[in-house]
Amino acid sequence: MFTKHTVFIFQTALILLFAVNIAVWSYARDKQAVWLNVPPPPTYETIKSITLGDTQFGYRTIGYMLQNVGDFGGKNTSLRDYDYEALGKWFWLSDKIDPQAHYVPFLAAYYFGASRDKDDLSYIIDYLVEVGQRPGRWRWLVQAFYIALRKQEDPDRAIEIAELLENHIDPRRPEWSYRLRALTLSKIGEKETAYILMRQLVQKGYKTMHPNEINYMIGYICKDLAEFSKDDPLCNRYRNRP
Amino acid sequence: MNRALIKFVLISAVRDKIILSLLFMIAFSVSTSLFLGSSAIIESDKFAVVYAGSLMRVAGVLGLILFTTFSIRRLFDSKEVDFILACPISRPAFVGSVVTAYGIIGTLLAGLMVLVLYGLYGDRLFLDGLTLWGVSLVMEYILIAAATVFFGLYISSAASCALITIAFYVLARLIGQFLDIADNTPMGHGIKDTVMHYMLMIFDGVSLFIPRLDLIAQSSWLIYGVTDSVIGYVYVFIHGGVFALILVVAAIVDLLRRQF
Repeated sequence: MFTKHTVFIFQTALILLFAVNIAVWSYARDKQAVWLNVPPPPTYETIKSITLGDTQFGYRTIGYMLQNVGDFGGKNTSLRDYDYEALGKWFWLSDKIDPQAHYVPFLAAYYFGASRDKDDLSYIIDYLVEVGQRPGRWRWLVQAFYIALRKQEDPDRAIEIAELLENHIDPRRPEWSYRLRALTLSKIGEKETAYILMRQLVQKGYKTMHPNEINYMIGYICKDLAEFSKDDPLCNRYRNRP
Repeated sequence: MNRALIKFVLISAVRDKIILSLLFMIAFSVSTSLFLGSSAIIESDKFAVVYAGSLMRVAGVLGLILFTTFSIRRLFDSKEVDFILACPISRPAFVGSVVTAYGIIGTLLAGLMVLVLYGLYGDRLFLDGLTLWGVSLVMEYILIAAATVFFGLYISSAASCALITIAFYVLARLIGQFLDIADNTPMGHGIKDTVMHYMLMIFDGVSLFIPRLDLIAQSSWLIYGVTDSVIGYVYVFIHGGVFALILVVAAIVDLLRRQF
């Protein structure tokens, strides 16, 4: 049997412990977890080990993490506050795990690619250029081209990407993707090179391309690049049309 | 093998509500996958399929290990084994029947998982991938059932047996990764390198007794089809069958040497 004294000691101890608990709670009540920015990625071997060799599961988990990284405790993080260098490493890691998926390229292009910081965008462009050169992945190359030209405002880089797109391994892609380089060159004033390229495209594509595409290119050559195409016999019909 | 004994184990599985528990685990895995898949920005179906496949696979293995372990240990603790072996059932037949019964449970489980995946995403799955995934999952579960029976007969503590079988499973899923690391470890000519060389040789020897579960039931098969020509039905059957038989024979040898 417990004596009244023993019961009293335990009751007092219980009350004291509750009091300590309240003190600890008061201290921690307003403290929130602090986001320390994008964590450094693990190695490919670590991902393989964590997922017990099921790397596809690892890819999807990384994708989900990237989709939600920075959103914590009901707060969102501005794109300018992300560590894009670390993000770039996560992209490359995911690419090593699954080079076929569109999930991470989509996040890179359409979410993280919305950043206004030109330096940060380099990580996105480099990644998309690599992914976009694979068969069936040309759309990521177009996205890299768009980000380089319109957001990063680096036409030289955009022209490099457009050249990759022009020579892409995948023949099943829209015909406009062939003339991005010529159009960009024309836009930055390199009209003579643009004329030569556009002329080559007409030459190569007149048998296979849709007549509307050919007509557009002839129109562009004869109207927008008129100073170089004034003696071009291609433009005779264009100029003499009713 | 003894039909009555197989039936006995299957009835005990129903009695222990293991089928119900495993169904619950499958439902939980699928629900989680659907939830995560629906929150994915694109490729929601692929997301859900991969998560469902991977989660169900692991949940099934854990359920099978725990059920088999505690079921085997209960046979010993309640002296049911003594009773069964007093009947005209040989010890090899006992082991064979028990492994067959647990293998049937594993097969039913894997079959159910394939049906669930097909029912949910049949039109978007690669059927060749789903079939090979299902078949290799059956082999994995049979192999794990055999391993659990082996450890269950050898180790007297149920908790230790379950933990060791789980460790065996994890090692089997990681062995390919370890071999890869071993193959790519740079070697010099110093004493340390010589020691490392012999350690890697020992590791190679150990890997001889560990099945390559990392190569089978890959969730990428479900969404991309079977792209790896190295792994096919022949490999799955031979590899899984040989390892399961090794474990069954080892369990028989252990039981034959045991004094009751």
